[in-house]
Amino acid sequence: MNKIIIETENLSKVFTIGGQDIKALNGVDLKVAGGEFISIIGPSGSGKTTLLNLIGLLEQPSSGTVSFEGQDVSKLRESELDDLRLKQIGFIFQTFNLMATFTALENVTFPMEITHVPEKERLDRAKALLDRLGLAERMHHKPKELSAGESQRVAIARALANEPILLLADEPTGNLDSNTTKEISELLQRLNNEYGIAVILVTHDNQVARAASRTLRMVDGRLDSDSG
Amino acid sequence: MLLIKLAARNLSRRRARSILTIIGVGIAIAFTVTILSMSEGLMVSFENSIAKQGADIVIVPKEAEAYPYPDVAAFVGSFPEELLDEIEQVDNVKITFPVFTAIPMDFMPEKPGAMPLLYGVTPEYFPEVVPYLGLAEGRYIEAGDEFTIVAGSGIAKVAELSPGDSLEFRGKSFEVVGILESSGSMDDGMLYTPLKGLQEAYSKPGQLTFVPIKVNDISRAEETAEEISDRWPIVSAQTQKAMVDKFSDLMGIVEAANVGLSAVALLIGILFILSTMIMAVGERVKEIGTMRAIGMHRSYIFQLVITESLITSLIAGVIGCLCGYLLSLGITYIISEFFGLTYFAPMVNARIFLTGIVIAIVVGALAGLYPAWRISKTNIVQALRYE
Repeated sequence: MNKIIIETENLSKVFTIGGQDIKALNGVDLKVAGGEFISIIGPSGSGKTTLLNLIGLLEQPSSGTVSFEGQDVSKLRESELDDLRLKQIGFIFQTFNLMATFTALENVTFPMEITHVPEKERLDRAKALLDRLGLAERMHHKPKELSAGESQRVAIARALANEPILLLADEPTGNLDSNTTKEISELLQRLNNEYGIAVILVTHDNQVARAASRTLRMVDGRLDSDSG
Repeated sequence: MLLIKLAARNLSRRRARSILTIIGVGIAIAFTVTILSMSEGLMVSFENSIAKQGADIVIVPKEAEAYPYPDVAAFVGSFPEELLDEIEQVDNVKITFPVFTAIPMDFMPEKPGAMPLLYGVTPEYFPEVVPYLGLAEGRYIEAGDEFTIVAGSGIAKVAELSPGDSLEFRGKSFEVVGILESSGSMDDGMLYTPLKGLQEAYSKPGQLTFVPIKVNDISRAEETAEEISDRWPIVSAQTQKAMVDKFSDLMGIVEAANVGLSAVALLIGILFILSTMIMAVGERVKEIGTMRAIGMHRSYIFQLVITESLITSLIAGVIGCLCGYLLSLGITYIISEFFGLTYFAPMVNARIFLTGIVIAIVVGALAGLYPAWRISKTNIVQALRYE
């Protein structure tokens, strides 16, 4: 087994809404190895996205720890968390979240511009990624000129731009039709195989979840079962 | 580079709003530049005339001593010419130049702004007191002239004067014999006549309103001016330096008013950009949440909003300065073409342009602070959920 890149211990998250405490996550223990493909399924409000956000270092847990490559992330400064997300984690969102004023190519080079990858290298890398994802003809188009499937593929290319070790996908097929859904789940599977990149996929679609090698079910803020 | 590219893209995305903001801030800056250029013009015209004149001390009637421009004496009083014989006896006084000034109220009824000042002088006045006034046409006033006129370039232009024309004042006809070159000073609005002729026309024989004096020892000029003022209480003698200082004090007040006006322009600019930026970042919460999720630092988001604000205000600053400049040219044209006051031209210089640009930068930076701070503090997860 590859080394553990993400480990959560007794991870909890409590939100206070209207003066009432709501436990979105309740003592989650999870280990994710490098190159692993995990899907997390469960009903709405079960805490899937909250778990993904905590693993993605987007927010702090109420209690428990998240370790990234053995390091307790609660000990890191905000800018160090930013750097980890920038270089080691790729995000794929349900609504694609592309920069509207940028072309597909610019959307992909964008994370590399933040990490100061030299211009030629980032252009080469972005073009290669878009080409690999079947978007060679679409790279100079802006998001509004792309179909939903194309937009999600651009978002995946963007997530891969800085060569992360972990890809976090939150309902990546939630806005796609069944054909495109199949296409995107196969693509994630292929990327996991070819690049050896770990993938955590949150979905409520059992079909999509099957792309993963391990499926976790979440109920009421707890990881219920582990099939894989 | 990424910062500027992102900022420019965001500005162009909301083009109409950006343009309106630029126009609003641009108007405020254009207004400031015009006001500043007008007071600068006043200062320069002063420096070109009184401050450049070849006199060390100026005598005016006591009643006129508070005014920075000695010409104003024409309104308020006069003193007898014989006094000069006595004043010339004062130790350190080298030479005096008797002047009688008058204001022809009904010079050109169709152009009420064209109000020249009549300067009754002796021939020595030109080479000694105003050596910077060159001749464009004709000749200066000569000994033996009685009812002749040498016209300043500005008034000559407005009244369309040329040598051989005649002008009537108080029933006396004066013949134009010379036109002066433009000097950018108040002298451009003067009509010079022989002293005696003007005194006669205005029924003030032997009366003077203003006398420039040259001294032997400039370091004792102040002492000499004090002595004259003390010995002849009907006049007030001031050194050239004191007059310059007095005018500078007056300009200080004008400057203070300018600062106030600039502050208003600043405030208008800040409010304009602030409201635009608050709207702009409000619409981009999700996008900014995505940038943060991808790994862009909070400080970078802050800089991005400030950069957008600065680009807007800088463009407004440059456009405002240019419009202010054009407005000043327009005012100059109107003043000179319709009123003949070539000496009171607004003046746009590098310092005023710089002030306009600095105001723009301050406006951009201040207006961007709050929206930049607010959006950079946004919680990433909440921003990603934002619709």
